[in-house]
Amino acid sequence: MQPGRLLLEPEEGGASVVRLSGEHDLHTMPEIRSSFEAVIREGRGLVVDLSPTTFMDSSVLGTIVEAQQEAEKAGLGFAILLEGGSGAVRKLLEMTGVPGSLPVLASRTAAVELARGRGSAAQ
Amino acid sequence: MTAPQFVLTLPAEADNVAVVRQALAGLAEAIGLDEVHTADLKTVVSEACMNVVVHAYPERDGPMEISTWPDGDQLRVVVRDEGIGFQPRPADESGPARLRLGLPLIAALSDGFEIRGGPGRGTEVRITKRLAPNERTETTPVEATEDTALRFAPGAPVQPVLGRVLGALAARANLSIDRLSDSQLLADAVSAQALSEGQGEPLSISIADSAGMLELHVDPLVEGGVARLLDAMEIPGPPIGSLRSLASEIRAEPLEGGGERLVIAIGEAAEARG
Repeated sequence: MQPGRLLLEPEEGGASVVRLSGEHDLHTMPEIRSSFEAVIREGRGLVVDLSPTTFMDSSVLGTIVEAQQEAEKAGLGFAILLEGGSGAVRKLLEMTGVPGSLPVLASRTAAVELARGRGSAAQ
Repeated sequence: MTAPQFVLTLPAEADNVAVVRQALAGLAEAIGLDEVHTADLKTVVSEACMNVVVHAYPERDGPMEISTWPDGDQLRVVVRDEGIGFQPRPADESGPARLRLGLPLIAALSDGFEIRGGPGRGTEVRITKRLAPNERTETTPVEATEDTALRFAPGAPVQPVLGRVLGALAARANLSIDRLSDSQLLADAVSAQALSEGQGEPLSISIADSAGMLELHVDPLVEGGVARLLDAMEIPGPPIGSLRSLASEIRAEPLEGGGERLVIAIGEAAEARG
């Protein structure tokens, strides 16, 4: 098992990527939530990178959905990045209807662009 | 039940759910479970354990117990606690707008699950996961439909079911009483004839309803089946009359793989209200 790790990668132009690698569940969820909140508090668009996530439970998914709502309230952009990604994560997203309601993009450039774009459009 | 294959007991704490997943991953490897089933199993059991961690012990520490039983082509997993018991709550205290996806996910990814227990008696979530995916091909997905669709296995009681369904739809479509009883006669006729004319395959009946009109599609019938059904319905005189007089339109449509489909329209808005 790859333990859950979180990496915050600020991009130029007002967006940050939170990269979740390994397994994430209720245990790592509070840290994930804090990092989402910090990005939004700084007024930056948020990209949640699930490409290296090998497992994710519903508490983490709930936190991602909340973050999208918070970003929208703050007039900031939001995107989920899934370049490849594990079958388990893909299945969880699809089963819960996430790709139909939140932007899930397969390219980092496009995801950052989206997170950044909406942010500047809202100014 | 025989003795479980393994029982894992550990404190119900968030960082222990990963430990449970590891135990299951080990078991999955030992029994040669494929990646997809392993991932489903991990999700299902993680969600059950998360429920224990979040809800079982609001005021004290307590254990969670995970037991597994191989059972033919199935694996049974039981997640148990000694907590306050499963309690429906009007609102989840654990945070704002928390998605409550745990149980739906367990239901969707397992082949059966059951919750036992109650206030003060702890909670037991019993999960069954089938291990042989190929044996599940018998189940057909639920088809999207805008009409009412019925499918009868050979020998199934068509008439009582179709009669009631047609009656309900006729009433909803504002068909007059005459037309309502016509729809019952039609159900009788279709049931009696369609079964004997069927091809030993499931009989499909779809019913489109709109104001003053019902349209039935019945298939598959053997070639010439529609004509024979009409002949059989040519009973002279009241009270039944012929099928032709009951329905405003009757036609046979050829099916691609041979055989035919019976299409019947009952009622016309003007007539029905006249």
